[in-house]
Amino acid sequence: MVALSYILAGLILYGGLGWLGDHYLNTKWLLPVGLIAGLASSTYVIIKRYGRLE
Amino acid sequence: MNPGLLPLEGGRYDPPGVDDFKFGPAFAGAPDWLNKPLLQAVIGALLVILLWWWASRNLKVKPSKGQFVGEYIYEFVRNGIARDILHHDYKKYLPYLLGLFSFVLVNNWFGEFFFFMFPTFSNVGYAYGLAFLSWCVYVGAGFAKFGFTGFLRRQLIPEGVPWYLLPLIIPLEFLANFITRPITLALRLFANMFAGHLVVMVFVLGGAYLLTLENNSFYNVAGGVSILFSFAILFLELFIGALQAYIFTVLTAQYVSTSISEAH
Repeated sequence: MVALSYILAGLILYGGLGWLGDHYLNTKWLLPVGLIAGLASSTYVIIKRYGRLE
Repeated sequence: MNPGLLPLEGGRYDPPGVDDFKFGPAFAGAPDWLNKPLLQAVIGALLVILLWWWASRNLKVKPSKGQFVGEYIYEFVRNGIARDILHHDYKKYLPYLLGLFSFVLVNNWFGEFFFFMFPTFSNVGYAYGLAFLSWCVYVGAGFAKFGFTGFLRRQLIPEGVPWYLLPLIIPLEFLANFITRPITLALRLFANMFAGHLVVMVFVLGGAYLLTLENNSFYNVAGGVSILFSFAILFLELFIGALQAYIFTVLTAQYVSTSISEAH
């Protein structure tokens, strides 16, 4: 359940930045790159925080 | 209370929708903000206070039935939620968790009880308010334990992350821990109660319309079955209301636990 807020936050933050970049720079590839980077960094943080074996 | 819930006359079918969740003043002459959900929330809070006041007096070693029920709920929250998640720190947060659980439970079950027939938290503002309260509790608990910078460092910088990734990670952690966390907490409760109430309305209103339709006995039978089935949905809603109260409390306890735990 805590992981959900991480995944949402990553997608919203970096996907949103990518969307903004696309909007102002007239490009088309920043949104997908941002979404993937956001998901990747979310997964990375979740593994760092909760992935350690006790 | 809600004219939309009366049997339909005149043969026109208005499907239930978002408008059925909007309420005007509760009685004539009341200001706009004094509507049914607000009254329900206040009545719910009074009920919770009364319940625990009544349950905590005249305690006996050999419990009566009422005391047994009260102790059962209390021990369910204490052992099943607070002690399981917060371990030895649980005592400080138990009153909040118990109050939260019973308040959400009572307000969710208002959706199935006569006279109320509306779950308070299917108005999203109430869910946001409750989630904000939980946010204050878990953030406040962290600040009280580790101080301002200590708590922020713990929340924003996970252990073992190399420094060159920090600019990527810190905004993400901030958004996840302080913003999307309470929002998902609120929306989970709100959406469950909203959708459940809407399903019940569809079965009852649609069933009543089909049941009273003229010259079509197949529709009438289908409407009768639909209204009967709405009782099954109401029982499902009782279960979902209890489940959501439990989940809300568990998640609040979990958030408190992540902000006060020594090592991640």
